Amino acid sequence: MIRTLNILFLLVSTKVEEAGKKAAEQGAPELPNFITLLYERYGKTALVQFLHTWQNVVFSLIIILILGFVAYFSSRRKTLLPGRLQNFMEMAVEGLDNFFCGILGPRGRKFTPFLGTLFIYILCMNFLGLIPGMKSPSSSLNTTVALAICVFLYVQFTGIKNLGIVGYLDHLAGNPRDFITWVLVPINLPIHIIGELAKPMSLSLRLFGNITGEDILIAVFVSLGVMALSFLNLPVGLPLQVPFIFLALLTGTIQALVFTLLSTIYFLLMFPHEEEKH
Amino acid sequence: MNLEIGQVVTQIIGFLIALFILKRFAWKPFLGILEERRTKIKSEFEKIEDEKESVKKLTSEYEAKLKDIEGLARQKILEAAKEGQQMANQVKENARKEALEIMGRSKEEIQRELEKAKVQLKNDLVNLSLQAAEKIIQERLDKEKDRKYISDFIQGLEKT
Repeated sequence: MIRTLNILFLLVSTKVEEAGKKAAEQGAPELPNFITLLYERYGKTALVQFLHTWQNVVFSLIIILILGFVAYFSSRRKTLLPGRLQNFMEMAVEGLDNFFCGILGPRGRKFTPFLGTLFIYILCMNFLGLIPGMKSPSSSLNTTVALAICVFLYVQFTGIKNLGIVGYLDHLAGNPRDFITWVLVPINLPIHIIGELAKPMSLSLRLFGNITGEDILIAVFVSLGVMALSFLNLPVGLPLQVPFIFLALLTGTIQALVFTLLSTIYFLLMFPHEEEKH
Repeated sequence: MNLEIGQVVTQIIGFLIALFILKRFAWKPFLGILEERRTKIKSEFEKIEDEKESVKKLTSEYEAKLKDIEGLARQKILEAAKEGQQMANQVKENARKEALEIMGRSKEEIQRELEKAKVQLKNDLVNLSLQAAEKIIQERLDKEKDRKYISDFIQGLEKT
């Protein structure tokens, strides 16, 4: 019994080592999705090559279509006494609205659609990778950078709109009022500009890193499970990744929430400062 | 892994499309309906509050009215009692007057009877004394002298 276990362990460890080497050669292990499968099969055709190059966009598109259809069908027949789908949507909308308005105050209602869409979109992107044959678009830096740029531009626009151009520049210069703060402007201004630029960078890198890590983790454990049973020549492996799928559900939610929450706070920082003291 | 401007821009466009669709079909209608329901519920509550207020007012009004009615009833009872007492007094007064009258009348009657009795008595007395006198006269009439006087008297009467 113990011997067989030993052999099994040896087998697994050598396989894992091999897999590790392979992964090191190929980059991070990634679970196959239907586009990479297509690519392996029909890599020569232009359409598949196009799909493969734009796979993250394709998966984003899938999410956009799903969200759009759900939104369309849930709001098509809306009544004051809601049905089940409408009830669910209302619950989600009201919960998010309360969340954002709780942070931003009553003027947060204006930003609820943007921030709520951001949250739901990121959440769906994070969860899409857990469906076999699909891939999280948020595990690509291109996607997260795109979202972060959207947030960055909207935040700066809100800042200029709320504070005025002079007020916005004043805010960037660290609100100089007396001699010392005026002297410190040459230091404050670049610090603030770097700070503003660091916000989208941290946002995008955080989301990208977490989701990529989570996907790699699941991929590693899937391949481990497959390898553990590979000596039986079965088409299935041990489902070792199951606990990490739950972990991924947790981190996916948390990362979506963190991204949205930080965006909300960036908006809050762009509101006039008198408002914040209340 | 490496950034590609084309992909980034496409993803931005994708997000903006998602934002547009969700704003159009989810956020606006649902926030609107939530707001609508909230205002409706609020107005219903306000209506209920108003109705409660009016019911309270009505209750107090009716209570006041009831109190008024009670006071009125008491006053009426008092008036009636007063009237009754007055009536009773009047009846008593009348009875007393009547009694006095009756008494006066009976006194008079008694007086009259008394007078009558007195007169009767006098008459009786006269009769008795007359009878007595008659008797005495009859006894004396046997005597000659008396006969003579009487016959004289009768003769005298005849003459005149």
